[in-house]
Amino acid sequence: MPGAIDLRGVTKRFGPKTVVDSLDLRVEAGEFLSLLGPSGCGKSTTLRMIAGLEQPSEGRIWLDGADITDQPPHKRTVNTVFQSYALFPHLSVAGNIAYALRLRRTDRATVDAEVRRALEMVRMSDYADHSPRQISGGQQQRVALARAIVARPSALLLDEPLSALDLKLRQAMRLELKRLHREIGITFVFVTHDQGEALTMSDRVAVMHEGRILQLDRPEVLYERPATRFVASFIGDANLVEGVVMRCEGERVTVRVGDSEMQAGGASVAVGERTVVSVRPQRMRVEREGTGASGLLTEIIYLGEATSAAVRLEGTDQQVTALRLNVEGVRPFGDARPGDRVKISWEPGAARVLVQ
Amino acid sequence: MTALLERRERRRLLTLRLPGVALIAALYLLPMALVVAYSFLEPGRAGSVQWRPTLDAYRELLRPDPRANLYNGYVTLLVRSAWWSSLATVVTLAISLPLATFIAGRRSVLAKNALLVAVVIPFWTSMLVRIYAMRFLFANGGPVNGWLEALGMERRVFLNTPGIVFAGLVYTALPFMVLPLYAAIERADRDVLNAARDLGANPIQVFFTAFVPLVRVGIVTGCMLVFVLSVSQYLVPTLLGGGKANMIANVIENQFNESQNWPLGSAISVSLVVLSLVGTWWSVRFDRGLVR
Repeated sequence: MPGAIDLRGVTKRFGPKTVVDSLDLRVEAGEFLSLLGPSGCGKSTTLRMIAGLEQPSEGRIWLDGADITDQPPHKRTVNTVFQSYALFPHLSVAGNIAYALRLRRTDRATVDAEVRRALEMVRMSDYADHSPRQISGGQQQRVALARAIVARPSALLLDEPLSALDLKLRQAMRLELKRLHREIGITFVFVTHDQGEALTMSDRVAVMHEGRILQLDRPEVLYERPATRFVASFIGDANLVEGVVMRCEGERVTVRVGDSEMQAGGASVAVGERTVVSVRPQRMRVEREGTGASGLLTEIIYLGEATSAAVRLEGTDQQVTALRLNVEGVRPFGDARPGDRVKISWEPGAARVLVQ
Repeated sequence: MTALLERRERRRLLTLRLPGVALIAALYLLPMALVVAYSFLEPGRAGSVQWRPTLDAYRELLRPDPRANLYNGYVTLLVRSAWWSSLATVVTLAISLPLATFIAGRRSVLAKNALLVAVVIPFWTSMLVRIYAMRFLFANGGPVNGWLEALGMERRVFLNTPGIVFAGLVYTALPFMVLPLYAAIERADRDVLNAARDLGANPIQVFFTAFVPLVRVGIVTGCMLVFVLSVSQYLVPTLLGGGKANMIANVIENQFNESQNWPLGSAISVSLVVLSLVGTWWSVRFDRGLVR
């Protein structure tokens, strides 16, 4: 199956500013890969370089084993869905979708059939004759998708395609995109700053920051075992607990947090060094009695589907949060009340020592 | 209740519009009506008109004059004015499109504004002064001929030729084309052009299938302005053509002053207005054609 993209040492500078910094990335054929990061991290620029809309300052880009770095965008078999949709305002919905086919001088019957098929695929068959101005943002989004896939590219590049939609629509479109990816089976490279989008749709996620990829892995690995402080805090909520490394035995690190010693997984770190441990709120234990670091329960907040508890660690100004799903008839944090002294702890597997 | 309010609102709007409407009526419609009326009257002895209705002026306008050549047949002159103006419009468009694209493409706002000011500055100078400047530049002993000589070429006569009149038309019209084009290009979504490239359009296809439709309004507005402006040019053919490359406005002036045939001058004026309207109508049609 075609659609494997290889970026090797790709750098992009705008004037003195390095936006993408010697990036190496391999996107497997047929994969749904997300580039996730805050604005300005270089994710969109990376995508535009794959499309050919920007030229890398250094490095090469390969598509299915061919070096396409010097190919102009119209020669590349990848298509883009733009953030602003960028539909042709002077063409109808059907005209927009037919655009790529007409450029190739495809015969009329084939164009009509392909356009109809693409319209069906994005469920816009009733709007073929509408002008882009007459349809909603979500519908424009679908047309932009249909326009990009109708020419059967080997990879589809999506530049924050959902960011202009409202929340409900955004969530519906996630499923829609996932379905589309399954149906047409080509490579999807999806750029987003929304970790929820990246986690729910992708086979793999590359977390980008300041022009580099910090971590590239499956969503669950990113979530469970973030490698750096940035990844831990960018993906989901994480307690970043400061402590001092006491012992280090292979993948198992013992860290002193407040008045207690606790276990965490992670790469080897130097004994005696200050470090940060990431613990997801739902894996943070808060108990009135037991072992763990002492703290003061400052607040219990009801959030609807869950309840959160905030604890200030004794002897520090560190605040940690714990989260429990609300279950009928069960008090989420036992009989603990705000103002109580509590112990916080976690399973060794629930915590990761982070690279700063 | 709402009907009453609506009526009051409408009356208020009408009152607000009144000064503008009155101004247009007094300064445009009334003189225009006079010109149309004059064109159907007999000429007075020393200018002015005699209020006796006749079609003489139009007969004179359309009369095939056996001596009529390029320089004095009215219809020929009308046609030539329209032809030169159309050509000037196309040439101005061809010069302005890359220029406006270049200005709109500057990243720095400072550069953009500086370039725009450079285009607009001629607006602040009297047209008369600018055309005299051209006369000076292209005079037989002027700088342009000096440069030609320095480059080892022969001196040329520029003034009082159709070529220099045509150049003058383009020169005076340029800002009227660049500004609407710039506004349209500036407003256009660059990603639509990128989408065209991305979907497989080569640069020429991007230009015709995406760029031109995107900046359509600017093109049509600019062409309309330039055509109407050029077809009624008086100063350029007078000062640069020296009476040897006249356009229709020169003849109108001649009928009102030297020849003192006001009805004929009026009739030619009416035909010029009709010509401008045809140009405008054609632009609108062209516009519709692009929308499809």
